[in-house]
Amino acid sequence: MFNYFKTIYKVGKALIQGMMVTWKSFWQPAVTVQFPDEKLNTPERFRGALTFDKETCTACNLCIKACPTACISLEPAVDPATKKRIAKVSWYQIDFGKCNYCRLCEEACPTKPIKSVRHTHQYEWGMLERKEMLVKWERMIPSTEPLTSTNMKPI
Amino acid sequence: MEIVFYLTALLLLFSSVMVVTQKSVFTSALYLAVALSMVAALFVLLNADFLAAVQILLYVGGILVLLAFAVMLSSVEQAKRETQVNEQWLPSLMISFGILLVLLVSLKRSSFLEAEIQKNHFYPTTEKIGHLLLGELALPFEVVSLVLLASLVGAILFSKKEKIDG
Amino acid sequence: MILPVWNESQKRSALILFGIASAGAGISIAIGEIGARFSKIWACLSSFALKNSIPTALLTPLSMIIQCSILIGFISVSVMFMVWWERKVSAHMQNRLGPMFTGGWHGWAQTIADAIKLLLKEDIIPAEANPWVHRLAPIVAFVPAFLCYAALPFGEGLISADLDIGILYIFAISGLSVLGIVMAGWGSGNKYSLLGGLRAAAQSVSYEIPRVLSVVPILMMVGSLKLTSIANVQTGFWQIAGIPVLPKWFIFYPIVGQIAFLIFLISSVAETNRTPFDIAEAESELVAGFHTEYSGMKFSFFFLAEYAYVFLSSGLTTVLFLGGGSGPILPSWSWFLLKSFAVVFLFLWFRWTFPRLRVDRLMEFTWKFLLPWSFVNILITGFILLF
Repeated sequence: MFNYFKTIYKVGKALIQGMMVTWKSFWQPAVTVQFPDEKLNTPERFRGALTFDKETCTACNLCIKACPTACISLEPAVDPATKKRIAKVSWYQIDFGKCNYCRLCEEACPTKPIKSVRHTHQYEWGMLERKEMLVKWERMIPSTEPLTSTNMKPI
Repeated sequence: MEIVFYLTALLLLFSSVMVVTQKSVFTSALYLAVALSMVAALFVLLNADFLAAVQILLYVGGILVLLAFAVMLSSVEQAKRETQVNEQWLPSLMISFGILLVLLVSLKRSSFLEAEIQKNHFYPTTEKIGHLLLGELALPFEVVSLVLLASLVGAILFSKKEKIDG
Repeated sequence: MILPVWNESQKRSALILFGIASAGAGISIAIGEIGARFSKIWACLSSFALKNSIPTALLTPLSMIIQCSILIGFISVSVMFMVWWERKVSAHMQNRLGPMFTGGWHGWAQTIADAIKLLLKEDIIPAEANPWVHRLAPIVAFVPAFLCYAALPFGEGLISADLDIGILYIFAISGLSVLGIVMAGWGSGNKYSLLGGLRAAAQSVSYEIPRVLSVVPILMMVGSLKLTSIANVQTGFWQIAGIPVLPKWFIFYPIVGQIAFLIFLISSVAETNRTPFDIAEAESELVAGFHTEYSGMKFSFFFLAEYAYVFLSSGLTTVLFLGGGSGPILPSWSWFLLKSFAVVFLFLWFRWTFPRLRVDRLMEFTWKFLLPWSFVNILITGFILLF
């Protein structure tokens, strides 16, 4: 008899304790971020989409060798006068369908002080077609005019 | 009011016939629900509000749901193979006709007091029923409750039987 | 309770909520008693009918149609509000925000958008289903919920059918909707639905009994089944030396009131198939139980029925235990709505706090705990009334 009422008391107490937990968190501010309107700051070493600097790249192929998924390809520029390869890139292409955002290409890149292939903090990047994942940077050979990219998306 | 009564009665008769003739057990249970609700409607038409509510509460809300519970566990395929009538259909038909005859004769002979049924005037019956059940009819009421108690104890005994044996 | 630190936007939201509350209070004081206004309007209409020799046989159906439309409108609006509210409350209890986009301010239009979406969805009848049972089930589930509102007093003079058997009528009719759930379970031709229907049948039959018996003490004290007279008994205050201490609500009657209230509340939650007792639809075991195979409008009918029952149970709790529409300053209908929605909040709170009971535990709980205690309660009430 005594145990019966004791059990009832215990269960009732536990239920009320549980309800107090939800009551407290009901009044706590929400931790949700309203994404399109407000965004969290990404960490310093966040590996977002890759970006490429056409001007500083020396076409050394180190990033291609470093890439574990072989998503990078490039062609070095040729000097039209001497028909020799120069330390500039003609075009540079990253297949973001293959890229696994591992930062190995950035670590391999020898250009200083800013690496010519590097991760940005960009993560809002949706594509509708597989073709769009192939991002290509092209460098016009007589490089007096401002550079344009045919296929590049603003990153 | 007359039209409402005849509609109710027609629906009641139709669904009662359907209860018996339907092959699928669940469908006949649903028709039984309609029939029982129509009985409640008849009670309402006779100004017996308490009885109507109890009819719905106990029969449709309680017993019929239990019935549906049992029916849902029954096999649909088996019910399709079995025949609707067994070999004793003729005697039972005759008995039903006999009961119908007795009812018709008694209806013919008895004269309902028109004054008792106040037409188009709705007045509560709950208090009257309460006074009847705990006053004049106290003994039958208690006897019925005793019968119910006995059946309850019996049900418990039957469900406990296996444990006593084992 | 420790008050959390609020930032600017939360302070703004709190101010907005306070503003809405005070505006609502002001408007309801300005409107006053709706019941009296309705009867005035109705008197105007009937005198107009008399002058223009419109037959009185037309007037009664007209008044019925008007009452039904008001009730349907109230049910759909309150259900929409409750769905939004449930989503917001559940979100905040889990430190989320819930719908925030649709309609601008805290996603208030989310349910309207959802309702439109449900209306536009394709209606599917599975090949294995029994088409007629499948079609009828949502109607059988919803119509009783609507019928019950006829006998619910929303305040002074705001009741469309003040039946002498009011409470019994509501219990009787609300028991009918289980049949709809059982039909849905059987008629869908799906094993999960069938299991859900079976569980719903067993559960509702079991919980109906303590639910009805828990009300018996009130009926014994009041001596009537009429909901308006039950509500009227509870007006006023208990006074100690001329100072009002507690309102004469039934929940404040010593011992009897509290036991009856707890039993009624628990079995109401069970009857409405909500979370601690939602074994009939148990998302994680039975997909969605009896409404697995329903889509579009039919599904929304089940949804409507569930929330209509939630409000009905809260309204009944208000009338039976919390004094109905009695209260100072504000008119009776707004007191009724306030108290009812407080009980609805309690329902939501239960739902988002307690985990689901196991089937056998559920049955054990009602037959071995609630039922004996409701009998004991009746016994105590008898003793109190004797001495």
